Amino acid sequence: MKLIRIDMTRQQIREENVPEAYSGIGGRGLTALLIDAEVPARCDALGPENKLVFAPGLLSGTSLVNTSRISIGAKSPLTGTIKESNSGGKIAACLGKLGITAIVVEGRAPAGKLFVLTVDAQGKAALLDGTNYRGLRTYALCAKLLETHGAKNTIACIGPAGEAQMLSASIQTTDVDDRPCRAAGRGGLGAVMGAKGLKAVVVSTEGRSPDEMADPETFKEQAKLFAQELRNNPFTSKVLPRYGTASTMAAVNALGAFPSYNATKGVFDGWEKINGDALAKTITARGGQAQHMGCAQCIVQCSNVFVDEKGRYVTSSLEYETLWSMGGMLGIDDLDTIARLDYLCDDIGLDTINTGVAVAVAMDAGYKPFGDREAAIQMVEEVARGTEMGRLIGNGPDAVGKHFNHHRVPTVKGQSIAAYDPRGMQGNGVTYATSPMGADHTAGNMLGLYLGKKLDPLAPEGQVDGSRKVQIGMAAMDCTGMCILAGMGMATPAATEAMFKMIGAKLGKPFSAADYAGMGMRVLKVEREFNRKAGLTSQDDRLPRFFREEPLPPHNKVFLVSDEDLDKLHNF
Amino acid sequence: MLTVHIKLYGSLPGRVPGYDPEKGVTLELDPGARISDLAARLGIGADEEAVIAMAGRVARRDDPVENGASLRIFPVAHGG
Repeated sequence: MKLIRIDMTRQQIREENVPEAYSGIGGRGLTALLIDAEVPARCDALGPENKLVFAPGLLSGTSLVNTSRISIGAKSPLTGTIKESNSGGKIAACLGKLGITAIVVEGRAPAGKLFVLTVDAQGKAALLDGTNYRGLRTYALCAKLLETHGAKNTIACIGPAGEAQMLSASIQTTDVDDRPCRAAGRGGLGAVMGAKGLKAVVVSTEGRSPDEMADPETFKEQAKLFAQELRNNPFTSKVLPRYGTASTMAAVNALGAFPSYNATKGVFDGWEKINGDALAKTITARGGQAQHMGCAQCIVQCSNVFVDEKGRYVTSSLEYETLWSMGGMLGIDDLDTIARLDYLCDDIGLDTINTGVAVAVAMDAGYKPFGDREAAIQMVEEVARGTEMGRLIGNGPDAVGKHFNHHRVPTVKGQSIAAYDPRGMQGNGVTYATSPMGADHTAGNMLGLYLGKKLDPLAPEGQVDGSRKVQIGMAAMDCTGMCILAGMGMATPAATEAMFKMIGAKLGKPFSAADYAGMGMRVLKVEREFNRKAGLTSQDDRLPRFFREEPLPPHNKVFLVSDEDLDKLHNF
Repeated sequence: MLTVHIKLYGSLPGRVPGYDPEKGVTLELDPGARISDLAARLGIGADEEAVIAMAGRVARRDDPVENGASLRIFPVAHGG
């Protein structure tokens, strides 16, 4: 239970026990509490007053499967709000096994300096000169870092976009195969890392000093039960391993809620060429891996390894949201092009969602036609080159929209929506509008409710209550380190109960459903309070006007939830 | 008779011998048939987590099948 504070200004490192105010919580909850307490809300997100926090989940580093999600938090330069973006790979499990509750990066390195932070197998941190890594893309960077520091390390790093402090810059983490293909993509946190002068964090995979478990026997027993529930669940045991998150594409297109051609249509003409079935078939025929373990301790294995026609590695993992942002939004129905764009974003260090939508806005504004594959690749490549157009794309859809004076920019608080249109799935619109994170599908995705016929996706009624419930649940889950997809295993009462018992076994006190919901509510309240202090009001909890004015085919609906109802979301 | 056009996704195409994923399959059902009848024809059990969407909306198993409707049937999903 220790915090490691890295003072980039003086290159000093200090360890401390986790203060009482931050104890008993992990992941997003910890980043939220720390940032709210220690970061001036109106500070420049790219200035020295901001802090970048790496926090594994409360259960990361334990024996529980699928708990290697790292929450990375800061004030976001993209949204101006508090931000948590989480990523998979190995780093959360490794930090947990080192007994590290969080790494807090503070201050700002002197101009022209660049550093690499290492954490060895004893949990000792060191700040090393990283000037020679300047400008490197993430794949080349990680290969060099592993060569220098040894293969038994895992990495979180930035690419050229982060160094240039672009607002769509991601922080990439290495997967189980040591590729920097997992991303804390949202909110421009790569730009914060770049502003601090930190190129990479290299963490030993050989840590053997996790925090003590208050009740190890109960934890072990419940962890086994939870894993069995995941193996019994058809979604996590059959659908995800075979078709990945791309399996979602059939559902969202069938509902007419797949924002395509920059959110002007709800069904993408070529979606069956890029859906889960097509992806699995293509990968398998070429000798790639349609099923792949991307993150430590994962038994779902929804990842994949996409290869070209000659069987050579292109990217991992090609996910639903990227198939949308680089596919449907751009009118591109070619898997090879989308895979190339995914690789480029990982390599340059860019959020695939914000970047794809930025390209979509440029195409919609007439810069290039929809479906122009080469133009899309060139626009993303230009980000790394730092050209004028590249800087626009790298700074996201709002920057592109302003440049072209184009009205159709699907963002909330500056961050792009994801692959669910608010007009076809009204509750997702509520989540986009009201999440303290800006538009973010992982903050409260309503798809499961619609497919289960619990709510009508096209009607305004019930969406605020539904979104509130899901947002609270997700805020709680984001504290645990549990993967959102494995978290779907909590659909059964047995798995849900096991989760509560495990948290109780970790903390050494009873933990109930009410405590779990309370944890989620506490996180949302803290995040919202930070945003209030930063100057945001309920007027920022709104979708762009075009969602209310331009009907989306095929249902030809607009966003119908009233402002008055949106303002009730945080009544709890 | 009712005529419907169906497309299947995920592991579901395996339920229909010779299924062509590009063309889908056209089925004829008795007048008054319900979604549950269609599911039974395709070997989709009542407790199976397959979603049946008709005309852009998720159908209940007791909904009547619309003549000429286009249906898409896919495994349950929770997002990406």
